[in-house]
Amino acid sequence: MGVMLLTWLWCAPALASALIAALPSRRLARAAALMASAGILAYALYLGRPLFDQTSLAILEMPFPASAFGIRYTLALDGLSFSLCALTALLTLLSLAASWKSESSQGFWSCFLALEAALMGVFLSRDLFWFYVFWDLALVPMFFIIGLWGSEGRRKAAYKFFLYTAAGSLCLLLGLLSLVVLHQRVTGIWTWDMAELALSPGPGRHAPWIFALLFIGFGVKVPVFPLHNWLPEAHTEAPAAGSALLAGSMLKMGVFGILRVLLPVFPMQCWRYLPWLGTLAVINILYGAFCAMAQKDLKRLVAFTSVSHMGFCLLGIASMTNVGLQGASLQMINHGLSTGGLFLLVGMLYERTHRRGIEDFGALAEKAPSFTFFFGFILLSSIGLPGLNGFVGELLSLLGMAQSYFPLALLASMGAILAAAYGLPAFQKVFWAPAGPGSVSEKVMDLDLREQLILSTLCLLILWLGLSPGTLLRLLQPTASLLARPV
Amino acid sequence: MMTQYAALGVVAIPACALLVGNLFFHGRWASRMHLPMILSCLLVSLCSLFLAWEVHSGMPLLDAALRPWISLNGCMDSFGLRIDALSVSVLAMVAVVSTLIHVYASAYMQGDPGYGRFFLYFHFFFLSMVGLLVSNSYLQLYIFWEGVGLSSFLLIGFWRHKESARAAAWKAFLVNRIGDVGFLLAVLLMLRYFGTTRFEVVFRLAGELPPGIAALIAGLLFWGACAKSAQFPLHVWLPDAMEGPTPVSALMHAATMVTAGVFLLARSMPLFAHAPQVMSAMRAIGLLTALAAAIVAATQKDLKRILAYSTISQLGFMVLALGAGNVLAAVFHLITHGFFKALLFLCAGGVIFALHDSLHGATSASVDDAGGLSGRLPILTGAFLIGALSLAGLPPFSGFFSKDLVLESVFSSRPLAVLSLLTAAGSSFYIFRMWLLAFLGDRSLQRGPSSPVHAPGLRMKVPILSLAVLSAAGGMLGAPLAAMLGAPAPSLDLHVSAWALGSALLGFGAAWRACMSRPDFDWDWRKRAGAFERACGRDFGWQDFTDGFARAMKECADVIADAWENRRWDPFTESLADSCVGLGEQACALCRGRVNEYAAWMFLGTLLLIFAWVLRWVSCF
Amino acid sequence: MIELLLRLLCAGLFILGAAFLVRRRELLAMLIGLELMINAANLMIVRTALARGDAHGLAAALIVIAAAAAEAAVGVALILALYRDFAEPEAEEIRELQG
Repeated sequence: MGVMLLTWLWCAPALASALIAALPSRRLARAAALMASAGILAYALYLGRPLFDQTSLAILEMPFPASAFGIRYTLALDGLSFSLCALTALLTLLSLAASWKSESSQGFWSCFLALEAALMGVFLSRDLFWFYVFWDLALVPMFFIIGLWGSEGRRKAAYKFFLYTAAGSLCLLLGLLSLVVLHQRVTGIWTWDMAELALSPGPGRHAPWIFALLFIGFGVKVPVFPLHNWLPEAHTEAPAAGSALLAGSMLKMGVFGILRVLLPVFPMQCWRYLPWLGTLAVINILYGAFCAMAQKDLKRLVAFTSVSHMGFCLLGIASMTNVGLQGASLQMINHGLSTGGLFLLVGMLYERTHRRGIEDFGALAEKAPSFTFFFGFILLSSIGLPGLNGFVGELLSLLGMAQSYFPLALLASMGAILAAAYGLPAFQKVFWAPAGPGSVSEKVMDLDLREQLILSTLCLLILWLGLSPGTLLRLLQPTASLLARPV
Repeated sequence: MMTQYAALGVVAIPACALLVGNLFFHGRWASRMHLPMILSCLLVSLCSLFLAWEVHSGMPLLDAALRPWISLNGCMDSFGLRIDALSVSVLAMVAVVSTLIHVYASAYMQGDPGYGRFFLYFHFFFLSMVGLLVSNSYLQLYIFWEGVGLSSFLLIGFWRHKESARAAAWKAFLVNRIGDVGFLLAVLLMLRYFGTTRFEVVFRLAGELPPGIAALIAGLLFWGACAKSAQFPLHVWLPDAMEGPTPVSALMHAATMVTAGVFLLARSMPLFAHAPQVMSAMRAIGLLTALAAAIVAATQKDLKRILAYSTISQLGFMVLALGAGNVLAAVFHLITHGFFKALLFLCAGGVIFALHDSLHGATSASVDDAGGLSGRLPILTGAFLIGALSLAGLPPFSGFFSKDLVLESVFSSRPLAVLSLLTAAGSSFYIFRMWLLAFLGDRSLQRGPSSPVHAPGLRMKVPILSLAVLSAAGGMLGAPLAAMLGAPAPSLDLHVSAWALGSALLGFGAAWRACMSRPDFDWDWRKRAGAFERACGRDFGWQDFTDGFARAMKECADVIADAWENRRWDPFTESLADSCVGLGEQACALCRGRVNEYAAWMFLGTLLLIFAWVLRWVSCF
Repeated sequence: MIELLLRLLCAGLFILGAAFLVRRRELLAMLIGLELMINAANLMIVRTALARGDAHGLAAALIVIAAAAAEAAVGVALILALYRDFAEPEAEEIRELQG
């Protein structure tokens, strides 16, 4: 049995969540949640040390023997899992710190830690059964976070989110079941292990169907173009911390699933469908950007930029090259930092004024200079200014696509133009333009020290990843080179 | 060793200055923000002059990698420095001119509420440009390239309360982004084919590319340069960029922004040598831009707009020279243009500053507001004249020598020669027209200063006079520059010079006739040919086209986001959930609570089961 | 011949019971229908047991009779209780528990 170091990474937030729910006072719950999430972040970083030193490529944990149907509790921490776990832990900590002033009940804080536990589980699992269990568990706390602590339209958004993603999960479940059953039929072995199912001979002529089911299952989470429309509403109605985690970590589940399940199991299909996957990615990028351009609500705008940015992840994956896959993995982290930061910022604006419309603000640059600085900085990272992190991820994804299919890279790079077209006018209207008649700008106080600390952390990471992405890329390298199409 | 420190200092010093300014110059100290910035500019100038001296006296090329940036299987780029003749010659000009403009700006912007912020942006602009010049790979150059774009966005929109300034800033960034995407794609292609964008590797291997790819890369780079250097399809942002404070325009037109594109092209000449098609496109576009912008410049009334179109026209000359493969001519003209265009802008800024009270808050002046200023602003008049003579290409001023080189490089082809001489005459015409209208003569239609004019202070005079000296004497730089670049020393081809001189004099004569002999001519023709004036004001319709295109994209976004996403797709997916509920309600009708019905269903089911069983039993036989 | 008659009798009884259950609306009549069906089945069991000479079949028939008796008792009691509460002999009108 051993010490089960990795198990604690998801058990600790789960236990903390249960404890916090039972605490007698709100303030106590708040402090406990913050401390717990800080501790978990520290623990996650501590666990990742050997990966940084390159002394080991992955930490594996299989404490129990296989049970019925070959289900076996297996966790593993490699570079990709580690970076996503660390991102989740960091975003949880920052989101909780950002909602410090909200007078929410114990349930609020408890839900966030439960969400963290489920996400950690998803990113750590190497057994498809457990992967699926955590995958679905993650829906539950998010449903409550949106439905209970969201803004006006929260109920509908929560149901829409839940039904939409549960339908996706159903496709995923069907796909996984048929994969496992077919594998057993052909090889006679029951297994849910990701590594053993890689290149499985099971699907055979059913492969396209199973591929499609799994792709839809993961695609809803990413979200891939026609299956994206749960996202704007969920993001808009969720509380700021919820949106930050939803965009920052939950969307990554889809890309992670594609990287961990779809590519290893169906490399042939992926290669064959490469132009189509790439086309979907390009549509995602351009569609998200166009929609963002027309938005009048800041939060919706950021939500659609998410669609656009996740398109770059998909583009890197679709390229099936080493560079592209690393770019996609890096883009996941980048998107988590920049979009998470933007959601927190819009949340801070909403906390002060209870408005989110672009037209509701004006001349904030005079009123709140440090707010302007942070917003501008993170926005620039989001629209891919070189020197900041967003650019590196986009560049590598584009490069991967340029290596395998240049015309798609050309189309995708139009996203960079559109990024300037949706990001900057909104920035100008909110921060530069004189306040209009209905403006609520006078209510906006500049950031206090707590908020500045939260955002500085993000900004430093953004700058660090932009100027020396090497450290992180080394972590992501093994997964990428494993999945890349041999040249 | 010294050279390496100097090379590093060129980038490190402005970065430190920005950091110091950002950390320490707050509140009361914000009004001293210019001190660290000017100091840093001075140091960078010293470093770059030292480097130029070293390179001139035969220092070998310095190309050092500093630290890795992105490395994937060793195929990617690191941050590094490259000091060679090209970078150091442009660098020296940029540093010196920027220093003078910094000094000027410290007086011009005095009392502005955003003084500290202005200098931070301003110096960031300078830093980006300097970093761009000493980059040793396309990727690193791209980082600073975008940095230049960002700082121009911040500076053009510096007076952010003004609607027009915000729109101009956005337009500049967007158009530059459109160009940058071309650059980015070129970088992607280079990475794909070479695995790196280090200049030395790219240039060494360029010959091994398939010819189509070489042309594609070159074409994409040219597209990027078109946006930064305001060449024809993508020049639309530059005239609007006048919304920024005048020192910004001076910096942008002389030293930092627009020179970046020409520098990129000059830098990439070894690559372009493998793409003759792109070279001829460069000649065509350069000449077209130069000629058309000269015509437009001759019809404008706003002082800064005239100068803006003049910049576009002069950049066209540089691109033309590059298209003819003459790097020396392009770089020489780049440098002399930096001197005299900075001078002209600072003089225009001086005029606006002088007329401040008569302009009622406007940030720019037109020829209507000026007129007959020579008596009150003698220094500006003289300095502007030197700039004008230099731009028009009259000996012995600097522009004469560099323009002469440009003309020489295209003189072998008759049509190119005729058109460039025409452009040269046009340049001479518009700049003397501007000088005559603003400073000389007495015209009833000009308002002239209604309040007392402010004479420029010392901090404005010193940069203007220094630039006047540089513009006048810059022609002497030709020989050392040629030696550095390894080109044959420029020698005046008397045949070409005579033609160039003739066309410049022709332009001057026409300007004198239009402005002095017939003082009201500039107002009369507008009444008669209003359509032509409007067409010129809109770049012969190209501005309308690009505006329409931008509007179309916006409408496209509205259609996608509203008509499709909000009204079609979103309701459709929601209706799926509703139809599930409907299906459930339909099913409810089957169980109305009648025991008889339930029993009947039960029997039906049993019968079906029996039937199935019988069927199976039968099929056994 | 007797064999055939017996089978026809069983089938007839069963169909009669089923018709009672499906067609009649009074609860009591439905109960009678049920009883008829049970007895038809029971008759078949007894006949088969006799034909095979198997005592297990007879034992099963006895158990069915006992269960049917119990069922009849509980059923009638329920119907009476319902009748007392609703004063309504027809099943259709009693729909307190319908969703």
